[in-house]
Amino acid sequence: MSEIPKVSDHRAPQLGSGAIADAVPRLALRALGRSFGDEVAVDDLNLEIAKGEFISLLGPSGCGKTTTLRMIAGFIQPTAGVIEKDRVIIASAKRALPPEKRGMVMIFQSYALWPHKTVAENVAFGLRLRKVDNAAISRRVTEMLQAVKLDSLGGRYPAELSGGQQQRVALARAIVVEPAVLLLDEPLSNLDANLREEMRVEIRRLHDKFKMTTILVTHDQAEAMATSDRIAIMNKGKLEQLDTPLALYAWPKTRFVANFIGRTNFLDARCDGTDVVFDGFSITRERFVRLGREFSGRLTFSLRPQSISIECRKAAGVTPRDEAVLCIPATVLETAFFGEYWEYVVALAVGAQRLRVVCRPSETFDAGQEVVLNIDPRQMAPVA
Amino acid sequence: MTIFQIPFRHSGSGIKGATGSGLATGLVWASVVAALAFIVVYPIVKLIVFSFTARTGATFDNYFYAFGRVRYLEALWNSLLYGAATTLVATLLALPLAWGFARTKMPGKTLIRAGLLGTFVIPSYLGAVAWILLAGPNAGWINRAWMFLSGAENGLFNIYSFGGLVFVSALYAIPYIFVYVSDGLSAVSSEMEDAARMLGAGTIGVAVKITLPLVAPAIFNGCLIVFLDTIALFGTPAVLGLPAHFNVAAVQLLEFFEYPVRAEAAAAYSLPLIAITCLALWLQRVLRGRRSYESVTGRTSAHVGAASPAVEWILFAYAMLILTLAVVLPVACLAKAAFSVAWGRPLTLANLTITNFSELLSSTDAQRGIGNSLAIAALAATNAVALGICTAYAVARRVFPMSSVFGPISLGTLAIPGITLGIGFYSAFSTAPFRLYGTITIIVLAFSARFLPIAYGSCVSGLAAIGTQLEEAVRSLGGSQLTSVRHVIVPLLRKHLLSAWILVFILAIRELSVVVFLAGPGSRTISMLLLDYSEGGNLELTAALGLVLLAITLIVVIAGQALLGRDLLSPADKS
Repeated sequence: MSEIPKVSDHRAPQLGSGAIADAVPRLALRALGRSFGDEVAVDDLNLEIAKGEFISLLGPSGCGKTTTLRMIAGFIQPTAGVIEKDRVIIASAKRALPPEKRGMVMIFQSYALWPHKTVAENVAFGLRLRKVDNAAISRRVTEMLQAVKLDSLGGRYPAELSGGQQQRVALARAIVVEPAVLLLDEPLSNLDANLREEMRVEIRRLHDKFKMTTILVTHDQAEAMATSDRIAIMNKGKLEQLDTPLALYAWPKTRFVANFIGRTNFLDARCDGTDVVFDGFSITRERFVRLGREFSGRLTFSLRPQSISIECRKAAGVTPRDEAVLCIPATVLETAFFGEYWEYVVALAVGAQRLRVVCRPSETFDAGQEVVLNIDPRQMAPVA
Repeated sequence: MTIFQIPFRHSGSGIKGATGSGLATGLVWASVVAALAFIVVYPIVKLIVFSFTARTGATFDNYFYAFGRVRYLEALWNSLLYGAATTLVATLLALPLAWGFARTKMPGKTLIRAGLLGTFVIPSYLGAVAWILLAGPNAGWINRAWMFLSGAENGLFNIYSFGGLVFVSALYAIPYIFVYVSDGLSAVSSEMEDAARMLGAGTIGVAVKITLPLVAPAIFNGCLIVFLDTIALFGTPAVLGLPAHFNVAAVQLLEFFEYPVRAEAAAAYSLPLIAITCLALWLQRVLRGRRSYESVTGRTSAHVGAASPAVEWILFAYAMLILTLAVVLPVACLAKAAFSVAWGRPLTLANLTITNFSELLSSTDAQRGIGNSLAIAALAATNAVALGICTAYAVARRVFPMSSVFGPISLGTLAIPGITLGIGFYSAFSTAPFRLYGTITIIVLAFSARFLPIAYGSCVSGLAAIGTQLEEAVRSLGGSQLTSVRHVIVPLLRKHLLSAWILVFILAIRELSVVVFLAGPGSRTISMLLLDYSEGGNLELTAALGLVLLAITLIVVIAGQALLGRDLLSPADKS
């Protein structure tokens, strides 16, 4: 397997599949479901989250991710399945522990800062509920405000803060009680683009500093990719794929995931003897090293525009430099320049297949130009 | 304008917590259910049962008796006539004020606003007493001035007449219409008016053809409140109507309690008033349901300057005239009478005295009356607000499966005129096992029920503005539902609760319609004493006690405004 792209995330090698199976998960959702009347919001969801892991629930609006988070938090009771925390059932269709007894803290989309309390009072509230003595409260509040870089604003009221500062207060208020699980519901959607980038780094930094198990709900792919150890992609109430960000990008298992994470080309193919036949070219089976020998019949492959490269037909020699890479003649149909990259639509010389290709700014081609595409079968992922 | 606005429909928001039970929580909700059953449901049910009760068992006799005489039926008809006429006059008087306030740069708006607040805090029966001093036949100051100036034999006005009764009642109903209509006007997007103007309509054309239809629902709501309030009015018709032999249902009801007491007949007689109220509330729903004025709540803009300076000054003069008639002249007259030996004599040193006040303060009746009124108003306001926040919270947050029924129950007494409610409490609590007749307790309970809709409405509108996530944040940090109510809801609703408390206090301390059926010798209130004194012809003492009542009210209003940072008649959310 050494020659294929490395898909395990650099960030969490200790959380490889073996490690997760061995340890007691902090949180486990088993066959979890919730319906509102006839409408099924979440269906047969299975998910295990290790201690200290950062997981995102990612999906389009209405996919059930917020419902799932609110079930974990205890604001919605499941109608099927169970939620376990440290192997203890905390919610099922029959019984549910109230939110205040779950040892989890949620950060809301609106931040939900109490407008009648100062920043320091907001942060201190959870500690007061835990009957921490006053000296310890003021020390921990001060430390926490320092950690979120708001040391001087303890006396302000939430209305006197900017959106980013309010977000930091919400983080401080949640983290200061050292929750077993931190839940974040679209925490960055009310911020402008620059702040959003800053805060998603901040959220990851605080997670690494305090090592809380964290679940983030978002519809923003970049937010999930940049912060998470693993991402659960949800669609129409179901879990589509649970994987590291890189694995989701490189090896999407379904059409939905391939489309939702970045952009892609879909190529239909059928197995014919020792060949996999595409529209316009074919590849021998043994070149799909990663797939083994178990695949057969008709299938669809996802091939990222970034995984294809273009060469001038003259420059390209008869044989590719890398034995594994295929050279396929094609014609450039459309060109669009986006500043950071070129985007080309090319048509293969044989057949009707069109492909989208992304190139560096220096790689300029004209519409109508005849070119050679370099395609690496190891980067083609079959999708359901 | 949240204080008079009682929401009849509201959508519950948020998804309720999965569970949130605890012993303390359970006790709170159990006592809320018990309180609603005890002071709202039970008296109404008992009133209906009572109306079919005789010594011998169930009977229709009470109805035959109550509706068996022309005089009784005539009183009912008179009430409708009185209610309709008062509503019409009050609306006509209030509309120019509201329009001028919302749409022009008329001068003296602060003064007019204060004057309207003054009009609001003067109970109409006290205004009626003052207008006896002003326009009583022959002896009234205005009539005497007229006779002196013109040499006429008779006075210009006779306040003891249907016209006089309607005029005085309408004057003190103006603030209600004003609040509704000016609120409605500020909700109408001025772009609609600008659109009409672009098409060539003039100021008056726009006001009549565009603005008026758009605020029609607000006008109707104001009219409804005034009409329902007027047909249940007891004091003013008793003071001004009876001498003119103009009998109304409210006064007739009290007659049933004179010897021989026919309380069951009174119960039967009071039920048509509930029917009329329900009919009016139903009509309001139908009218509102057919036309959608949702677009009215568009962008509110401070659109002023629709009229020329001349029109603005005319409006100002008009406002001053109204305030003179409603506040300045009556209060001046009461003050003069309160410090006079005899009210009819001119203001000379010989006629000047403070004996009225010293007599008042040394009278055990008056002392006890003032004490009773203060205690009743404070307790009733506290009860109503406490119950109101509980029921509003239960409805808004769907605390338990059936909690939405709290809404209609909390608003239920809105459909019960004060006099009817008084008889309901009489029938429910005067007999064993309660035997509360003549106690302060029964009056406090009745007032708590009567003013619950105000407290509930205020809390509902306040709660609607508080996002559920603020509470969920408490829950998620480890606090119970009670903790979140204590630390988040109550502090954030502080101003709503306070303004509701003050409003209930003001309305309770002058309330008369309920008290007349429930007060005994030991539980008489300022309002009842005022009626007694004026019926006994001691107008100087009446005036002095009236000033005391106004002073108490004014202190509460001013203290409240200082705490709230705004005046009582202005919208809470704009503070």
